[in-house]
Order: sequence, then structure tokens, then C-alpha cells
Amino acid sequence: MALEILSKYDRQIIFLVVLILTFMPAFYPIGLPLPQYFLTNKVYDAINSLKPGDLVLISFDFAPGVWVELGIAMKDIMQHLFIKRARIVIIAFDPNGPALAHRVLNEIDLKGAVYGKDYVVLGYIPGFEAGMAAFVSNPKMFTVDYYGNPTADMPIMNAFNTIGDFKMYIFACYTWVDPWMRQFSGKIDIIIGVLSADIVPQVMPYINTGQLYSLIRGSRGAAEYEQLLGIKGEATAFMDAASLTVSLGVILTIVANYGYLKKKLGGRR
Amino acid sequence: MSWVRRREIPLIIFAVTFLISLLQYYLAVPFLSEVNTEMTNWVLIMSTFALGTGLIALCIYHGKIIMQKKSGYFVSIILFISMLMLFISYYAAPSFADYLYNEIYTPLSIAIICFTAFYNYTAIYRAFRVRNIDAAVFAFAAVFLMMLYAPIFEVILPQTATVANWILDVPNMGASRGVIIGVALGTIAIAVRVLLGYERAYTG
Amino acid sequence: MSEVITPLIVGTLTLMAWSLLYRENVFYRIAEVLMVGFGMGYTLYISLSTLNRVWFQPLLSGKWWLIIPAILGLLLYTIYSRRYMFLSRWAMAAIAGAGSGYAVSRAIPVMIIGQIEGLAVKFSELSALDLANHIIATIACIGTVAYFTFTKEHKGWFGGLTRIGRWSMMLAFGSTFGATLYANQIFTIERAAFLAKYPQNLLLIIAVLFIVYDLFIRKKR
Repeated sequence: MALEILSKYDRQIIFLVVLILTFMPAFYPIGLPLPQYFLTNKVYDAINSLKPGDLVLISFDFAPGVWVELGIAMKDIMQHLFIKRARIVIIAFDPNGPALAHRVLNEIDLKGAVYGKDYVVLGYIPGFEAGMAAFVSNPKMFTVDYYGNPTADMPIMNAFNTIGDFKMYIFACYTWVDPWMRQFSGKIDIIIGVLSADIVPQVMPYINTGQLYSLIRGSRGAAEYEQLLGIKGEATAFMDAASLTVSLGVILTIVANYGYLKKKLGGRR
Repeated sequence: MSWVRRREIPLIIFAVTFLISLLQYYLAVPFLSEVNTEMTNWVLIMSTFALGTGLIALCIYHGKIIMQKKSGYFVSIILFISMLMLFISYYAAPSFADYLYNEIYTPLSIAIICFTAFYNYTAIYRAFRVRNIDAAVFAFAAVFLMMLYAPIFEVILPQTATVANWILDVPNMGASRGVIIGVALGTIAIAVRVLLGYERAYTG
Repeated sequence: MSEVITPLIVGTLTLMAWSLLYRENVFYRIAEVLMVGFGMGYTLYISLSTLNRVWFQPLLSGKWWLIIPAILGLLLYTIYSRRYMFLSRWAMAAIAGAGSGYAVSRAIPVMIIGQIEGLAVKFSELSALDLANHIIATIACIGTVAYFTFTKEHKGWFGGLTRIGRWSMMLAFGSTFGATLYANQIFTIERAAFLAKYPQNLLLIIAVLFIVYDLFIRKKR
């Protein structure tokens, strides 16, 4: 009887269990410890070793729908960059990038950084890979910034002439990283990817060759980064629920296959 | 004026832009570099114009629904109202536009993306079966990666993370490297096919 | 005031979107078109502001010849006319051509040579375990490339190699699937964390009552 109900309403039951497991830690936080990933530490160390005034190029290449995966991580990283007093140039190869960068800048402590002197938002660069290539060949391609201000008067724009003048490039994306690697690899010494967790397995060859210096694996990486920064941020709060719900995936895989294999092997006998 | 309809024109445009952007990388010819810079500028302008094409398609689709007063046409009216509201507020009241974008649009986008998660679970329960050795290998990696992303497993049983990281760093890395090399060769092959006129997705 | 109203609006919209999990309904459609509408509004704004930066400002500064790419860009809109559709191919071919040129030129040094270089290591610098791992990764890579070779029949030693390639790819795809489950789930977790807070948590009670009422009505029918 119970099995019948389970098989008839399996979809609804699974939805309900997922919802319960998702909501439970939101009401009753467990506070599970969070192990660190060495690549997150590598990003932290690289940013930590920056000297005041070092130029960092950042591109926001994601849509608002993946804000949780990438936006929070970018907030943590940008906060660290402002603490280290790095000079930041922000671009975007996704139309939504400038709006999301604007949001990040509004939500973090800028540590007294001045717009135009310490950081600038150059805005969206159209054409995707053609846009990347254009920016790499001439980083001073725009005469006005995202807000419509002329860039010629900005001190930060006089701090670089070629792409090689940037010490570090950090990009946040949720698709295959090949276009970023093709255009930026070898042009800037340290390239860091803030990537959606599902992209991570596909970029491991670039990590292996050093073409991609290191990466942050989505919100999980953000939580680890918050731990390194010593703050209890947004991403950390999600990790309890992540443990419970992703465990459900493991359990469902085992349950579904146990039943299937039992039936199959039983049939053979 | 029938020549303007000839299929060779887009093919020639493709070939010229392709060869300029390709050759400028390998040949250190200042003239080619200058031409490439200007051409890229042109392409960026055209790409910006291209952003509006999807917008027009949606406007035509929903405009038709409203004009013909099809069932649920008020939903299309809401679409136009929300579109104009955000667009106008970017010029009239930028802080309100930020509010709409950050406080309404972003969480709403996240809420709609959520469905994929729910369906992932039902997909696992209904379709994730170890029917052969390939599926078993697939399931093995999937389970360990799930464990890697659920911190509880790594805390209780650190060996799960060791296995998952080994999968990521060794066989997954090797296979992904093969895929990357394959993708690069495929990119080159497709470009050659377009140049030879076999692929007409872009050139008509 | 907005500290109460905004979470209530967003909470309502989130539950309207999630109502699809219960069944297809008009609330979900409203949430969906609101999202699309805002997306369209933003795209319209960013298109115009980008045009101002990349085209209009340089044009005003004396680069009159930039009128030509603008005309070509406008020709893209002939895609909606069956008669003049062919004109949209011109700009499309230029965009695709330049994009492909950049991709191909850099794919060779970065994706092919760069990755093949990754296969070459100094054996003397590796420990026995690292060497074993490197050999496995190299075989997986060669096997994967071999799997996509269709000019030779997948039989004998070559068949064995392609089988190893297929298993390696299964491990890679499985890894991606496992990570995808987490990546997708985190969105639900964020929304749940938001809905669990006051005052939007009151909406959860209303939503449950709504579903119970609907179930009751449907059963009665």
C-alpha cells in the first residue's frame, strides 16, 4: 500500500521532501563545519599578496538568475580586493554584467575608494568573443564609462595602456570557459575563474596546465572564501541546506538503483 | 539589383572578416592590425544592434496576442507594462530602476530557475538506472561529486572527498582535455566548412 | 515601510513562481512574464546605453564612417520580413566571421598546443603516485580523442582504447551531473532562506491554505 502510494505520487513526494529539507536549516540552522578546498585558498592567497595600487581586471559575465552561485562569490572577492586597496577595472561580456557589478559595489564596503581613481565600471562590451579580443588588443577602447562619464579624465585609465599592465583577471561565468581562456590566456599572468559549480569539472585541464590560475566553485567556494575572510556571509548560511538536499540526491540514486537491481537480479534467478 | 540577393555576398563577408581576424594574429603586419581594429569596432556596433532582434520578436509575438485578444492576453499586457516600467525608470528614476532590478527581477529570476533542481531529483529517481557498465561509471562519479558538494560527507567521511577530487583531477581531467582538444578541432572544421559553403547557418 | 512591503512582494512573486510545482496556473504565468518583461526592459536600456558608448559618442567625435556598421546592424531587423530577410545575413555573416576568426586563431595555441603541452611532464620530478595518475589522465585523454575518430573502426586495441575513452567521459559527465545537482539546488536554498524570514514566512501559511482549499474544491467537483 505504502509502496503503491510512493510510486503513484513519487513526483509530489520528492518535491515535498526537497522543500522540507531546504526549509529545515533555514528555520533551525545546524552550523555544520565547512572543509576548505585548496583552489579557494589559492585564490585567497593570490589576492592577499596584491600590493596597494595593483591593477585588477574583473568581468561580470552572468545573468541575475545565477546571482546566488556567482554574485555572492563576486561580492566576497571584491570586498577582499577593496581591503587590499587594489585598483579595479570592471567590464562585462554579458549585458547583465554592469547592473550586477553596480549592485555589488553598492552592497560592499568600498574602504574609501574613489570612483575613477581606484575603480571604474567600463560597462558592457558587445560581441562576446570579438568583444573580448577587442578589449585585449586595446583596453582603452571606450571614451565613456557605463555611467556616461568621459574616461579620459579618470586617473585609473592612465594607469594602464595594454592588457599586460593588469596584474590579475577575475571573471565570473556560468558557461564553458573556452572563449575566456582563448582570449585572455597568456595575456595576463594570473587568471581566476569564479565559476558555477557545474562548470568546474570541465575546466580542470586549464587548471592543470596553469592557464587558469585558480577558481572559486560557485556558492560553495564563496562560503569557503567567507570562512577565510572571517565573516559569516550569505553563502555560509546556505551550506547546511546544501548538505541535506544534496544528500537526498545520493540517497535517491541508491534507493532507485537498489530497487532496480533487486528486480533485475531477482528476475534472472 | 538581383545581385544583392546572391548567396555569395554573405559568404564573401564571412570569409573577409574571418581571414582578417585570423591572419592579424599570426602576421605582424601593421596595416592588417589597423584594419582588424576598425573591423572589430564595426562588429561590436552590429552586435549591439543585434541585441534588439530578440526583443522585437517577443514584442511581435505578444503584440499579436493582445491585438487578437487571445485567451490570457492580459498576461501579455503585464509583460509590456513591466518592460516599459524598468526601461523608463532607468532614465526617469535610476534608483527605482536599481530597486526593480535588484529586489524584484533578480529574486524572481532565481525563483524561476529553481525548477531545474526539483526536476533533477525526480529525474534521478525515475531515470537514473545502472543498466550497463557505462551508466555504472556515470553514477559512480555523480554520487561522489554530490558527496563532495554536500559538506556533511566530507566532515563525516573525508575519504569521499579524496575519491571525488581524484575523479576530478585525474580521469575527468584527462577526458575533459580530450574534449577541449576535440572542441578546438571542431571549431576549426566548422569554420572551414562555412568557408567552403557547406554550412549555411550564418551565410544563408 | 519598504522593509516590509518589498519582502512581501518578492515573497508573493516567489510563491507564484513555485506554484507551478503544484500545477499549471495563471499565477505562475504572471510571474514568468514579469521576469521576461523586466529582462526585456533591461535589454532595451543596455542596448541603447551601449550603442551610445560604442557608436554614438565616437560618431559625434567625427568618425562619420561608423554610419556604415549602423546601417548593417539595422539590416539585421529585416529578419522579420520574408522579402528582405537576405539582407540580415550580411551583418550576421560579419559577426560570425569575426567571431570565428578570433576563436580559431586562439584555439590552436591555447586549446590544442596548450593542452598537449599539459601531457608532457618531467617523469623524474613526479612521485610514483603522481606518475600513475598522469598516465591514467593521459590514457583518458587519448582515449577520448580516439573515441571521436570515425575513420578507423573501433575494434581490437583501438576499440579497447575508445572504450577507456568512453568510460573516462562517463566519469567526466557524471562529475558534471553531480555538481549540477548542487548548482541547481542552491537557488532553491536561497529562496527558502528568504521565505523563512519574517514577514514573508507568513505567506507560506497562506500558500498552504490555498493549496488545501484548491484540493478540497477539486475533490468536491
